[in-house]
Amino acid sequence: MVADDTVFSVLYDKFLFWSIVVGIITFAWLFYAMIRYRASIVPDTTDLDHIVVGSFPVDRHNTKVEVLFYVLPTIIVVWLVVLALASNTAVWVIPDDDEAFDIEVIGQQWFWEFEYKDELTWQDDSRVSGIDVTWSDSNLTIQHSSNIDAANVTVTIDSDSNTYALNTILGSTLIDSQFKKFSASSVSIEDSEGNELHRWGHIPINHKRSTAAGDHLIVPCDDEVVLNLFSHTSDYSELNSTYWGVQHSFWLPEWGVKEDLVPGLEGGTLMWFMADDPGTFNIRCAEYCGLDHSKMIGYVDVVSPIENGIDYCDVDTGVKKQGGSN
Amino acid sequence: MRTRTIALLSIVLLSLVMVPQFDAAPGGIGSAGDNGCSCHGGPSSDTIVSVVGLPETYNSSETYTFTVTVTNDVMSLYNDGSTEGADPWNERYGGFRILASKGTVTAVDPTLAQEMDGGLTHTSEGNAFRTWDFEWTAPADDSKFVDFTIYGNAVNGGDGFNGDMWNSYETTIAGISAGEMAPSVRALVLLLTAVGLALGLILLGVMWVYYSRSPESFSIYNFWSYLKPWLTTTDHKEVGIMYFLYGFFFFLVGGFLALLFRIQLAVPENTFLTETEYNSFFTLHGTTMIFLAAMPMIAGFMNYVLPLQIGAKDLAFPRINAMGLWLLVFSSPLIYTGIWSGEAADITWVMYPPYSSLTEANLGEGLSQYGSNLGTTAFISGMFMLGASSTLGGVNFITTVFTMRAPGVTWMKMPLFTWSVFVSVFMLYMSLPALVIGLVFLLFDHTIGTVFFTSGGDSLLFQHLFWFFGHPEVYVVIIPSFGIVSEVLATSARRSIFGYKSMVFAMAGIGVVGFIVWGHHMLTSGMDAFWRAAFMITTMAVAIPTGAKIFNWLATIWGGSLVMKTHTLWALGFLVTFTLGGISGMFFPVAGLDIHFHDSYFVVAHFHYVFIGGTVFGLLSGVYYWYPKVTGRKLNETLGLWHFLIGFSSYNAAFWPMHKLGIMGMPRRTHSYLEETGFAEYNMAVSIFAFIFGISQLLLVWNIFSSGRNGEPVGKDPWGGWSLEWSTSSPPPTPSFHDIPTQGDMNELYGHHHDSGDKKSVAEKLWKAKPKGAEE
Repeated sequence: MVADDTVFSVLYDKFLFWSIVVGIITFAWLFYAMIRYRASIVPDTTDLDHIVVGSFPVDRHNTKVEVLFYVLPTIIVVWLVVLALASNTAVWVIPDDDEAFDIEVIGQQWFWEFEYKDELTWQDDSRVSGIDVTWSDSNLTIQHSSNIDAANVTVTIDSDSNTYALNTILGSTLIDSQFKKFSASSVSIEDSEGNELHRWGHIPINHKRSTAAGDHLIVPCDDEVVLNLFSHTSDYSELNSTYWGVQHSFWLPEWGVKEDLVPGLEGGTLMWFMADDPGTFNIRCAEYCGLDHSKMIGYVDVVSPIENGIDYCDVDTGVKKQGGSN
Repeated sequence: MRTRTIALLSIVLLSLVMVPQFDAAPGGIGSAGDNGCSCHGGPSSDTIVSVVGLPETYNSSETYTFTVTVTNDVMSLYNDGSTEGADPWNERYGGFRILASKGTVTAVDPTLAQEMDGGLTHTSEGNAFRTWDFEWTAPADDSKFVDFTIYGNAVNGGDGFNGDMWNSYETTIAGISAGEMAPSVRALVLLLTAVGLALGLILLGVMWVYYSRSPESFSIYNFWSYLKPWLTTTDHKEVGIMYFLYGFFFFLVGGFLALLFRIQLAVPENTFLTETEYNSFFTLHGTTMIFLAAMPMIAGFMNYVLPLQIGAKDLAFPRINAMGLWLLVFSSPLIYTGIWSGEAADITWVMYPPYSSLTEANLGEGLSQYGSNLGTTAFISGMFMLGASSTLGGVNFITTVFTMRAPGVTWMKMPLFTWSVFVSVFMLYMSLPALVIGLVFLLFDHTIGTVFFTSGGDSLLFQHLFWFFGHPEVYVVIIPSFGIVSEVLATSARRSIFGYKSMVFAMAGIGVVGFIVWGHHMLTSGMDAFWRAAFMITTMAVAIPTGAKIFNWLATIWGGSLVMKTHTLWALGFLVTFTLGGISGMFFPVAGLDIHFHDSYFVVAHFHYVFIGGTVFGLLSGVYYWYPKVTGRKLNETLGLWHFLIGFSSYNAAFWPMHKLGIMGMPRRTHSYLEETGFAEYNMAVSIFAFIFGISQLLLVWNIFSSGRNGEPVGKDPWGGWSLEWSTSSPPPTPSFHDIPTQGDMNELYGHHHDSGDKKSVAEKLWKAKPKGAEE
């Protein structure tokens, strides 16, 4: 379901309103005419227009009314075009490459691959979980005094993961682990029963994630995310060199945006969106792409990036913008 | 002449029978695979081929070792149970030939075997054994079935070729994830065989009817003398009836396919159909409904009614007309043939490459799951024949309207149905070349490895070619319904149509604008922003003539005396649903909305509203309206009323929830959905009402059959229409007019009305119920 405050929803409501207006006028007219001019109350009108077999009957026309019948839909159409064109800038203008968060999306048969073109460091809102993670080039500090449930921490760098017990007496734990800018890393803090309380993560530039491995796409909130979409082969080395990939369409129903992945289009296609609040949302493939088309689904996690010491989504962007263009 | 015809027909029939065989025979037609080992005697049960070590199911890419042993009982007879006296070397004489449909087979000792004729056979060293070890490497795709055929021969020695007989061992090995495929593929074949069987039964039934009428004169010759005129007819009425019946049959078949996948979609994560079946079914459903159902039904009306309406004896090219019909008839087996291989075309009715051009041949061994199904080749060929059929029809109708109008039937005095057909076939004729060019290139890409739309080519080009045809096509199927509804509403309201010229201009306007809107099907394909805006504006402009038409229909009812016959009900139903479909159509050209709606269920809801609610309701109205002209009897009005009430309400209940599903984010062409999506309730409702809608159509089937015999007989003009088809008998003679009629013009006698601007005076006249010619 599309979120309430997207361009789609705003525009849809306007169109729905005018549809209902047009519908009410047309159907009121139709049903009134049907009932008012039914044969049981109006005497036979056959001879009014001289309807005789083999002869073209007398024309019924009134130029002014006929012109009006063209003008009325024209007015509605022009008004709808005005409404629609007003949304174009919001929908079509792709944000500047340098400022936006860039991700390359590669459509495979039948999963999605995401290659990060910007790095992303995030953690769960520490105001809510009561846990704060600080990871520097020398060590990892976990401040958990305001969350008494915290028991264990798992630190993963690339695929190596280590689990440590937290120092529950001190309320803060220092782990001798070095932060590496070019490795994908995560810190997961759990209670004694293994439920996750807090997450901290880092995705480096050129890192790849894939829905085939069960990964979610992770994007920052309050930032314009630009997706560059490609359909081409990267992993099927056994495939013939003429294999180009097939058509897919990357659809994010939450923001009401989608764009096709066109095989052979060198620069790929572009779409963008801006997420307001954290959460997990659906990804679907909308263009038929073969056998497992219906299983080509995925999830996108909206998280809060750590920027200038702020680690929560507090900027209310109002309208969640959206887009897709060449 | 006759010999040539028979020869041609046999070739066509033979090729139809052979087409599925090309992929079915393991070694291809006529290879050594059919004959075992050709250098030995015939097959014999004396020879026993035993195979040890082949698994029942295989894992992907795993290698299995198996042993083949050949024995021959006859040998011991010749040797008296002992080896004494026999050449001991001969005991070891044997041979093999192994065919595996997938994976690779190699001999453990490579000197014993060699590749030959697409299979593995022995070398001269290998000839000296009766038992061999092999390794089979399974394909990477573990969802397939691998067929093994192993031939073996054992030479007994002693007596020349006696006993040198071969036998074969056949087995099928399933991949571990192929488990459920086998039974459902069979179910599918069963299903379509049932359709074929039903056709056969209908044929038998028809023969029985003829037998029961006069048993004495019943013979093949008499039956043939009845059948032959239908098979060889060039009369526009008979061709029209055949077009309609053909289209109606496929309307039911397409609907049946739809009900099958509605069962699949009724509950989340359903496994009623496999993905391959589901993908083929919606492909066949879409193609069938547009090309094999809607178009032929429309062609039926065109053929039957148009020459009658313009006072022509027949169409301009009657033989080309019949050829169009038979091309169409022979295209449907091609389109459906893949179903018997379990792999019908799964490329959707829009056939987007590169997917539709990918086959195992251009993907690589064992990778066929990434490409389209086997049936695709025949499917594209069938589409090709449809293109030829429609082009011939287009030429014919355009020429007929231009040259064969009776005196008095001038351009601006033609009945609106004729006008609608003219606009429609003109659009078809103009747009078809784009599709056919696309299909030729696609077929080349698919079969001989050209790259028009795949690597190095341009996959978007096909989308442009297809939609340059495809969008006019949707107007091609809706505009004739506009014509039918115009005729029906005017006749039922017992008035002339309001704003005749404005109606004609509206149809022509739709015809012209229809050619510059195709881009709205591709708004999310990376199209330049300027062109998106351009296509948005042109698409929305279509609403202007369409809106004018709806208002004109309403104005036609206004001031009339509306007779509520079944055809009137369907025409009024058309007004309701087509207006709704038209309104939802306004949402798509807007980029901000289309980037959500594109390829969602909202699209499905929209085009079913215009295709069923528009085209089909219009055609149903036409069926009730012209049935008396065709048969001389009326359809049963009570059955018709129930047909309308059940059909119209269940139709709306089935398709309205699809709008909601689209907004919620359900994509088209999706085989299953997860429980958590929340689509389940709506889908269940859609499925239930789709079944009711489907079953309600059987009322019409029954009505058509029963009223043909028991319906109320009618005269020339049962409904009070004015056009020339009502001036001839019901059914009309052949040729349709003995003398070319002349159409009169009441305007010359009585002058024009300006009644709608002067409603008060019209109403006064009506209420006073003055006698004929009251307003003069």
